[in-house]
Amino acid sequence: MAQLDVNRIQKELVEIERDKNSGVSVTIIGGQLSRLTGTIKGPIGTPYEGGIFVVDITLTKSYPFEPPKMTFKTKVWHPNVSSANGAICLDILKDQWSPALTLKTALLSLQALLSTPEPDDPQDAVVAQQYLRNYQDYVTTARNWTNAFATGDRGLQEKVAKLVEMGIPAEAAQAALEKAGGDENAALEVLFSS
Amino acid sequence: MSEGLRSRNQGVSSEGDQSGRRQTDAKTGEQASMERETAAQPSTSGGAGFEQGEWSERTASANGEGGSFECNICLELAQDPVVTLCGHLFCWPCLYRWLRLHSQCKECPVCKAGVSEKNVIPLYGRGTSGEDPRTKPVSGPEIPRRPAGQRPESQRAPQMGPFGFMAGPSAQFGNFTLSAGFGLFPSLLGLQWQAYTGDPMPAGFAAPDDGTGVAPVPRAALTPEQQQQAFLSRLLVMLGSFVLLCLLFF
Ligand SMILES: [Zn+2]
Ligand SMILES: [Zn+2]
Repeated sequence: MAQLDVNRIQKELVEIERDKNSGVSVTIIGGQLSRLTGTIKGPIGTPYEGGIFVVDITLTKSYPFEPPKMTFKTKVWHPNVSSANGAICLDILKDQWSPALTLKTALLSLQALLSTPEPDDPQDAVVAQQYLRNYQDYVTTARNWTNAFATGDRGLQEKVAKLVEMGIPAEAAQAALEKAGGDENAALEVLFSS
Repeated sequence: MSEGLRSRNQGVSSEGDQSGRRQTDAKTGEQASMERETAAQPSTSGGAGFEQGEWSERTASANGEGGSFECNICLELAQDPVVTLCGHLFCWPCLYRWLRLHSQCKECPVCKAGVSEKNVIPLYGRGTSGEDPRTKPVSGPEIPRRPAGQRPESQRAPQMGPFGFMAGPSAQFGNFTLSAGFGLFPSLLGLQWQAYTGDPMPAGFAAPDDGTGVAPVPRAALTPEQQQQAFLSRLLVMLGSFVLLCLLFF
């Protein structure tokens, strides 16, 4: 309780490192084993395909007896992920956690969640409504968000940089891009119409 | 026979890491030393000279992901190992801490079968120190002693001698004694060691859907038989020396 189980976390990191084909990775932030960053490849055949999704991971001192805290750092359009703050609704990160699960299996579960949304148990009600009532719109928005925010930092930063060159403050540019689902022209429209 | 054993024993010192895992059939001893199999029958050379640390290193490296005897919670070689009725291995302190402090429904961390502190089975390996686990420093709650093992009545037939379980073609050392050995440890047959493969895990972790308390277990990287064989390799060293003695004296 008093101590983070360093051995276990390091073992997990080695194991993830060894299996390069798993589609998930974990890196340490700043030498502290309690703060980590995970990445997930968007599953093929979903609107998230081609994206790399960054997940913030925080481990409590009771890990692995308590679940890791995970939130999407990359913006995701998904019924079970808050489009505002990346909070995730997934049972194994809550009451269904088991100490036999690992960061890798948790990330793989997140990947599975991207493939199979559960709109009946939503985190983001707006997305869930769209998923249920207007599936095509959901697919389009999710894909746009993937292209805008999950194609590596480069994708978004380049777009922001372009808008900044045009004299728009970086913050406004980012907000507009997010509003426009990553589409530059739509972002411009947003910016100039307001 | 004895030659075969000797050549295998030489294999230990010269081959190091792989020797314990290579299949060496008594009949084709020399030949077999050329080919390597990753997880084959345990050769008799496996146990005697190996220190604990060496052994854990060997299992960990040879099995790749998730050695067969690693605790499912701390991922280390299990200390004060206990196995649940569903066959999953843990350190007693790890399992106790989970059941006592964190688990909401007292479920097996691996398969979600019901587990109580009373119905876990302690595993007593060879050469256990006999140190009282309670004397070890453990953070958190005081961990009580492991529950004791149960000792059902033996079913051995009375006319069999001390080596009754090895009666028959004892010269065929490999497979025969192995399967007989399993008969000695019927409870081991139920064990299913679990090792994570690269398979994505579904969001809803598999839960038992029937009332039996036994749930489907993820596929192990090695077949149970191979793992049991690995487990028994140390034991086989002892059996092997008995056989040798028999051959020498009778
Ligand atoms: Zn343990
Ligand atoms: Zn189990």
